[in-house]
Amino acid sequence: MNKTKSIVVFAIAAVFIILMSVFGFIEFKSGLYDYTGFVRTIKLGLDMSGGAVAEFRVTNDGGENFKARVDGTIKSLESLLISKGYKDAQVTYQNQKIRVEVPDVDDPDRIFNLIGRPATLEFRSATGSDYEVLILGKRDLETAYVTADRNGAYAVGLKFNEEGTKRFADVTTEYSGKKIYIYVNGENALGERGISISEPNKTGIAVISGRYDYETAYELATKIQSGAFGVDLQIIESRLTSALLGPKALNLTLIAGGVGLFLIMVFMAVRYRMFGVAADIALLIYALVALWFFAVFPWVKITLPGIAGLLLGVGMAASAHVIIFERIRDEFKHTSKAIPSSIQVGFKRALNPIIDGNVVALLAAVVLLIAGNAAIQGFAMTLIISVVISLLTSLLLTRLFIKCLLPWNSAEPKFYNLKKAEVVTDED
Amino acid sequence: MKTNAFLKSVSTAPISAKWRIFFAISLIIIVAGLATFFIVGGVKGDLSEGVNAGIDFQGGTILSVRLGKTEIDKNYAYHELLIRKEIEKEGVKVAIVQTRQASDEENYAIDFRYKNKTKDDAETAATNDRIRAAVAALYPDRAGNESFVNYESISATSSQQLINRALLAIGISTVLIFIYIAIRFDLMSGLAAIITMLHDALIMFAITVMTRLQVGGFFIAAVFAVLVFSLINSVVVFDRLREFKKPFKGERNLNYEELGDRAVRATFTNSVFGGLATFATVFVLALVGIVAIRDFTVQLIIGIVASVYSATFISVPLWCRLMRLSDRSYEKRMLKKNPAAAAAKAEEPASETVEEKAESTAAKKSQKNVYSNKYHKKNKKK
Repeated sequence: MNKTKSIVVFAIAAVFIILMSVFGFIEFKSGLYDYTGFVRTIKLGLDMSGGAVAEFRVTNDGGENFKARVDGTIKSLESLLISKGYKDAQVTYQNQKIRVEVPDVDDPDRIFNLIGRPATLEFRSATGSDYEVLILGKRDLETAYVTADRNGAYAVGLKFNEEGTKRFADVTTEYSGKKIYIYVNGENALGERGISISEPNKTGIAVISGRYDYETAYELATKIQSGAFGVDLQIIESRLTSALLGPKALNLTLIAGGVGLFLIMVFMAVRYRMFGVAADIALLIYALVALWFFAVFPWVKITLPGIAGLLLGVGMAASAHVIIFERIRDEFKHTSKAIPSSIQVGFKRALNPIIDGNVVALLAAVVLLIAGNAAIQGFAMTLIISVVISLLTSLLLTRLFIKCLLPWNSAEPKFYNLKKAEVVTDED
Repeated sequence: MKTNAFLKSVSTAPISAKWRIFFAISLIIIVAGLATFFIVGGVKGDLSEGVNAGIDFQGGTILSVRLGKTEIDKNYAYHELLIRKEIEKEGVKVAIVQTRQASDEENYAIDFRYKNKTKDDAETAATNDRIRAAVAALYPDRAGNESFVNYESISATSSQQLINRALLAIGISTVLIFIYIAIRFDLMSGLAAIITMLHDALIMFAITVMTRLQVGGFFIAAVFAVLVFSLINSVVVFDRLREFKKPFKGERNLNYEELGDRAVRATFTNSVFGGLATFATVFVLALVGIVAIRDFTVQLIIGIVASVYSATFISVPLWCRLMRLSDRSYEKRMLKKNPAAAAAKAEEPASETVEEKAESTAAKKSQKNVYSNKYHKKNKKK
C-alpha cells in the first residue's frame, strides 16, 4: 500500500458516501421523472405510520380443509387489497382471527367497503326460488379479476380451484347451450341475462363478458372475489391506530439514528484518533448500506421492535470497532511491536470475539425470525441485516482504511492515541 | 510517576473472589421484582395485574373527540386537560393522548387511550357510555353532532399467545446458543453466558415491575435486544478467558479467580464503550419519542446497564463457581473409581500460582503470545 493507492481508496469511499447520501436523501424532479431518495421509500410498520386495522373472527364450521380455506381467504383478501392500491396491506391469521392492517389510511370504513362485507357467491341453474346451486364461490372459486373478452371489451375473469375446475367442467357440459345465473349475496348479479354457456369448459378459467365499462367490471369482480372467501368472516373491530412517533415518524427515527451515530463517531475519533476516523468512514458506509437494504428488501418494515434491532446493530458495529482498537492498543502497550505489526496482531486477535459475538446474534435472530410473531420478526429482520453488514464493514472496510493510513504515518503513536506501557518499578 | 492509590486499589481489587456480594445484589433485585409481581398480581387476583400491562396486552378503549384541525391547533393543551379530567373522573387512567389526522380537516380528533377497569364487557360498555356522555356535555355547542365523541374498544391482542411464542423462541435460541458457546469455548462458559443472559432479562423485568413501566408488545422486543446484547458482552469476556486459559489446557484446580479477573479487567473497556455506544442511540430515541416509546427505551437502557454490569461482575465469577463445582464433582468421581490414586494426588504439593504457571508453561512451549507478563518481567530486569 503506498500513498497513491490509499488516496484512490479514500477517494472511492468519499464518492460512494456522497453518491449514496444524494440518492438516499435527495428528491428532485427532472422533466417527467420524479426521483425520491431510497430512504424515503423505507416501509413503515403500522405502529410507526399509523393506519387502519380490522379484525375478523373466523368461525370454524368443522368442514374439511379448514386451514387451507383460511389460507385461501387470506390470499384473496391480500390480492383484493393490492388490486385496490393498498400494496402495503398485511393480512395475518392468528387464533381464529384474521387481522387486516393497512398503513397510511385515515378512514377504516373505506377498507370495509372495499372488502365489501364479505358476500356469498353462487352459480344457480335458474332464477326464482326453484334452483340448484351448481358452483359455490367459497368452495370452488380461486379468484376473480378484470380482464378483456374476445371483442376487447372489459369482462370479469374467473379462476376456479382444482375442485372447482372439475365441477365447472361438469356443469358446462351439462348446461351447454343453456343459461346459468350468478348470485352475489343472494342477489342476481347479472339479471335475467345470466351467462350463456357456449361450450364445455375444462380449463378452470371462465370469462363473464357483458360489454361492461371498467367500473362495472371492477365492481363485479370485487364482489365475486369477496364472495369467494373460503370461510365466513365476522367483523370484530375496526379502528385506526395512530403513529407512535406522529406523522413525521420516519424523519424522527432518522434524526435519532443520525444523532446517535454522530455521537459514536465523535467518541471514536476522540478516543482512537486516526483509527477512529477510519472507523467513522466505515460506520458511515455501514449506515448508508443498511438503509439501502431496508429500502430495497420488500419484507423489511420499520416497526418499533425493528428500530430496537437497528439500534442494537449500530451498537454492535461500534462495539466491534472498540474490540479491534482496544486489542491494538493492548498489543502496542504490552509488547515491543511497532505500529503496523500491532495493527495486524490486533485484528487477528479481535477476529474470534467479533465472529463469535455476531454468530451468536445471528443464531438468535434466525430463531426469532422463524418462531416469532410479526413484531418479533421485524426485530429479527433488521438485526440480521445490521449484523451481516456490520461484520463486513468492521472486519474488511475498517482494516482497509487503516492500511491506507499507514503510508502517511506508521511510526507516531500519538497519531493513533497509542502508548507503550510504563516501565513497572517496584518501589518496595 | 505517582499512581493514585485509590485507582490502583480499584484496578487490582478482586472481583471473582467477591462473588457473594455481586450475586447477592442481583438476587435481591430479582427477588424483589418477582415478589412485587406475585404479590401485586396475587392481591388483585390475576397474575397479569402484576405488571403494568400496556393497552395492547390488556385491551382498552380509544375515545376520540373530533374537534377539528383549527380548534386542536389553537387550544390543544386546554382541551386535552379538560377531557382527560372528565375521563379520569370515572376511575380510569388515560395512558396515551394523540392527535388523529383525517382526510378532512373537520374530522381531526384527539384520541385518548385508556385501559378498561374490568374485563366484564357489559360494565366496560356502561362506563364508556357514561364517559362519552360526560365528555359530550363539556361541549354543548356541538350537541347536534352525533359523531363528535366516539369510542372504540380494543381487544387484547392475544397476549397469551404472543408471550408463549416469545418464550418458545427464547427457549430454542437459548439451547442453540448454549451448544455453540459450549463448542467454541467450553461447557461452563456456555452455561455461565446463558445464565448471565437470563439474569439480565430478569433484572430488566424486575426493575420494570417495580417502577411500573408499561409492559406491552414492545417489551418483548426490548427483552430480545437485551438478551442479544448481553450475549455479545459475555462472548467478549469469555473470549479473553479462553485465551488466558489456553496454556493450561486440560488441567484442573487452577486459580480460576485470578484468570477470570484478568480477563474481566482486559475487557472492561470493551463492555463499557460498547454499552455507551448502544446507549447513545437509544438515549436519543428516548428524547424524540412519546410516552410509549419512552417506556420502551428506558427498559432498553436498564437492560444495557444490566448487561454491562453482569459481563463484569456476574459472568466470570459465575464461571469460576461452575469450574470449582465441576472440579469437585470430578474429584469425587475419581475418588470413587480409584481411591488410592486420588489419595496419592492429594499428597502432591499445592499447585503453583497462575503467574508462575504461565511463566513456566510459556518457557516450556516457548509460546510467543502468552500475553503481557513476559514483557513486564523483561522490563523489570532492565
